[in-house]
Amino acid sequence: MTDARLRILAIVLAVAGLVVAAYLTYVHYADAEAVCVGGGGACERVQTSEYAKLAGIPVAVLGLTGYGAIAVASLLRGERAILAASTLALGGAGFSAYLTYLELFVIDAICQWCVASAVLMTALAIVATARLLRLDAARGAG
Amino acid sequence: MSARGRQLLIALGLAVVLVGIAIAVSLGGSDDEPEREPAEIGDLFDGIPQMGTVLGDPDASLEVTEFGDMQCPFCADFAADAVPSIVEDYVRPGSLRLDFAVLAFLGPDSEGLARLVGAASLQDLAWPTIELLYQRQGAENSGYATEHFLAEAAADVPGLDAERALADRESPQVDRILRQAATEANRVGVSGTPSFFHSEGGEAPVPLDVGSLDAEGFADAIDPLVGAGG
Repeated sequence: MTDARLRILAIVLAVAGLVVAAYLTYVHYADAEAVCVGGGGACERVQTSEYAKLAGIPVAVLGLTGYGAIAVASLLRGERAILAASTLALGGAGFSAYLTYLELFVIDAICQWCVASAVLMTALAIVATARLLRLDAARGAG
Repeated sequence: MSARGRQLLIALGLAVVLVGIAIAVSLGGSDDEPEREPAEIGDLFDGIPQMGTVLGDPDASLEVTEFGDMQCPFCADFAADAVPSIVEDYVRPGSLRLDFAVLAFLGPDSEGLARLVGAASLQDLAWPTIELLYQRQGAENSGYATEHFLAEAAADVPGLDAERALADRESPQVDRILRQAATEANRVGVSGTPSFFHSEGGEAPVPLDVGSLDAEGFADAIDPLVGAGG
């Protein structure tokens, strides 16, 4: 796959992640129940657990910021933009893995929206890393 | 090392640092509410009549019952953000009596915590115990309410005979307190916690619609009733 296509894929994934994070941010601030298959009880448990905030900032807001930054970095051209997108996506995927561990083994509840976000962030990390690994090829071709 | 390997290493290294910091902050817990000293909790209720799970003047015309699970995070928010102001503004002056119906439906930790509240109520010290347990609330169903946790909490409640409270947890009296709370919750139709009901002069309890779980939200709901009740 060419870098142009990977770049478009990264932007699409980041925008999808932005939508998910924006919805979870809305649920948090509107004190609403998340729409989930089989009811929103598990999402509510995750969202109201002590791990739902990081240094007082809702994790959903951090997700919103992260996806936004990855989208911007993917829109920009150049090695530094690709490096920034890869770093953020790899960091996001790592943190998503930690949050999934908490859901499974500590909070004992799975939020479908959080799972969707984790899948999107992992896909973003793969795409962003693929773009990073293609830099040499691009250089060689150029 | 090739340029691509170096770039990947930089990205991975920075990502690991980012995740490490995030996890360290997460494990550090929330700093939203500074923990109150047990003595401060004792001062909050000092001099206010307590009988069983009821706090306040027995002659107060208005009574509000809170239905709560000790693992419920919204109940903990209410305990931290609203209860101190409610106690000072309404309970201490004698215009309101508070009752706490302790439920245990969120999971195994709820039962142990509820039993300690029930046991403390036998010593007329349910409310400081409730405040202390909410303040130390852990992640829901994480197994945080261990024997050690409960023993330490009981020992820290000002005035509580911890040894007696721990022994009373499995007593028939505590069984009855928990059973009565669950029965009453079913009877009035409690669908979540915290839920509030008010009653005046022994009348049937009526749902109290609290707009937000802070002192202002409670005051907005209670002020017209306190005015009406004198």
